[in-house]
Amino acid sequence: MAVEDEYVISDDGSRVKLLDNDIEDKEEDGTRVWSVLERYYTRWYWVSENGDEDLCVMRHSNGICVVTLSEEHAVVAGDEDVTKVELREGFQEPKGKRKRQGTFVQEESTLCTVHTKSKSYKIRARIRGVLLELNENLTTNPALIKTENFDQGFIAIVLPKSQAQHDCVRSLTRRDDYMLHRQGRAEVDVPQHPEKEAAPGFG
Amino acid sequence: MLWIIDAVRESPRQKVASRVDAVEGHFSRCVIEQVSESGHCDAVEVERWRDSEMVMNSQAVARAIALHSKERAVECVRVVCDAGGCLRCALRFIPITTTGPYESSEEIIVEALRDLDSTLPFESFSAVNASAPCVCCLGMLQDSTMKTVAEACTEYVKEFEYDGVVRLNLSAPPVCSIIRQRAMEIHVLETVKPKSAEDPVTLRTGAKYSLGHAIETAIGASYDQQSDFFSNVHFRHEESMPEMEKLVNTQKQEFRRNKRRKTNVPFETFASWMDRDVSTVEKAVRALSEEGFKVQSDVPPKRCRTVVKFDVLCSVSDILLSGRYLKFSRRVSQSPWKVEDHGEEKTGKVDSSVEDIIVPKLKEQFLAAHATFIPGGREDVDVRMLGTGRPFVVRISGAKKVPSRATEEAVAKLEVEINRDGGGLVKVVELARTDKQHLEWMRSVESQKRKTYACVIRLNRLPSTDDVEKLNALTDMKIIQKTPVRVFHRRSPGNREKVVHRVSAKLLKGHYMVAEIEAEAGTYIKELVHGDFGRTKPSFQSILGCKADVTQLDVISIDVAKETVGGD
Repeated sequence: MAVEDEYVISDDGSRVKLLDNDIEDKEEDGTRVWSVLERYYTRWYWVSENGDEDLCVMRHSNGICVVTLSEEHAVVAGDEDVTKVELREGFQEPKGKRKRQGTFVQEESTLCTVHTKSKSYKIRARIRGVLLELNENLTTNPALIKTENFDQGFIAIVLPKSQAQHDCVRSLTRRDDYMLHRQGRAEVDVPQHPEKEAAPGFG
Repeated sequence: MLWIIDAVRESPRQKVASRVDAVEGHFSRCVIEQVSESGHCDAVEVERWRDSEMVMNSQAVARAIALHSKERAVECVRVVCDAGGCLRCALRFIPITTTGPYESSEEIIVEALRDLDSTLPFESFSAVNASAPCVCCLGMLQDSTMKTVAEACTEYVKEFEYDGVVRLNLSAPPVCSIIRQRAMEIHVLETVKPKSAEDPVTLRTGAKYSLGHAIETAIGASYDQQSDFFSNVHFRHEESMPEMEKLVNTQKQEFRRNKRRKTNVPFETFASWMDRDVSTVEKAVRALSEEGFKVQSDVPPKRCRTVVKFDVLCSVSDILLSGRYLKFSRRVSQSPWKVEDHGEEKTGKVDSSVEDIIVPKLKEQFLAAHATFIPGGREDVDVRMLGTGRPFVVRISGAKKVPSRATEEAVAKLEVEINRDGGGLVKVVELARTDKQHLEWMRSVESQKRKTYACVIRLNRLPSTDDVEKLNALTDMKIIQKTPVRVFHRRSPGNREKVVHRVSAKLLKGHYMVAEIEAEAGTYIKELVHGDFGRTKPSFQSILGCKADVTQLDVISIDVAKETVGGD
């Protein structure tokens, strides 16, 4: 980033001074500026048969996953407003650093149910792990799940069972491949079911 | 040099005075100090004679012994030695409480005894040797054992760079000797009349006087309680383990009190635990009446065939160095990056770490085995640490060089070396030796500190002066932070309330603005700005109503105003 060196240590070493002449807004240069989400999180997608129930798993570099709706999910892509989000019952907040006594979720475990005027969708975890948090803001402000799906509208935070690299996202698709898939150029072999092994894109 | 004779504590004043007389010729100057109103004396300070006449002659020893009613003393020596005790153990049961006689060689003690009473069984003294050790100290206080221990210490000390001052740690004598001590005590009480009003000198004290002296002489060091150099001698004696087992079986309730101890462990495991817990064994022995004790143990103690075994371990106590560090790079982490499998694109983010730059130099300087870096708080790899720096302490353990060899200049030189070789990434200031209090202080103020950050923020729209005003208006704002996702893997879930004291923002070019943020210790600044999925409330993102992101963050000051409280 070009703003890297705009601070200098003043002579006595105690304060910093700002040289504000070097800052470039890279976006104006046509280069993308990466947001915090892009810098620290890798996006993985769970692909449903017709795209209506696609989910996105944002995996932080520390291994923790934030589960949210994909931009293709019918709730996000559709026109209908979200009327209600029912969070899963029986969630126990894990205790301590080691996250003991937390609720364990499987691929098929329901995280929440999203209701629109005409339909309701069950959102499943699609990864395995300890459920660290359910987004309670969704009960009071259900619209977030549609409008801010990659930010305040997240659904749940999950600590994957296996911390090993890629293990928890084995049945998911990388963002790049997902984009190709979305554009209908789906010659890429995208797994349709969690049972299928080895998502493409692994080095 | 000053010696405090502990043994005279609580003795009436004239008794102390007479004892001081007894060691006349051994010490050049004796001062009685701190005599309380009740006529009890807390300590006697004597200046030690450091001449060729350092060792007492036999007359002096004889005088010291005779101080306690000659007849009784002689009788006591006779009884102890008849039961298979050694000369120094005999002295302990008289009891002789001054150090001089213990420091003298066995020959001198024999000579002194001969002066007192020529009818003593001198042949039985020589019968106590390596293959038939003293029944009470199991050989610990015998010349032959002391010589081998002293030799082992000398061998060990060679590895160290030390300055001639040593602190001896004669570890707990083998626990079984506690039983034997009691057995001999009962035996003496029953046979020697009149009974002594004083308890016998413990084996530990006896060993301190005699063995301690022998080791000091051998390695050419003087005893100093403040010394950072330790010599530990640990004794054990397997032959008398059955006696121990017996005691454990009869005194189960005493040993069961310790919660940590599991019942039904094999006795060997138990014995090694007991080796470290002398006080429990002492209590168990004391809990038995004399009769009760005689039922389960031999009085006087049984003779045995093997001498105590011992381990010597010399060590330098932990050395603490304190300082502050500044970090100028966004590619240097605080602690070394652990290469773990659960993340992508980790490699290439980090050049080095603060710990890696500072610690090896210090370790090398003190020829140490381990060194631990203890920072007062932490910052992310991509956060610079500027201003006056962050306090830290380095604990150096297993050093082979005593710290008194590392003078202030040497430490200052280390600082220069670290800064020279740090490649300009990290700078250390105020490196100095420190103590435990400083470390505790550093830890205790960690949560009280206020920190000021400089933060470059990028909005997803062009910021206006309105935004600047909104941020500047924030004073002592309470925020609630849910454990950030960034650190969720190592912190427990929870809502943490923090206070943002002050924000002063200004516009930069384009989408960027810069803010100086003063906040309570433990505030996650990045999350304060971007809101962490709406999990920090309120956040700059929610206040400004647009996406906000931290592109650069620096710690520019850690409030150190309170440092005078207990700092170095």
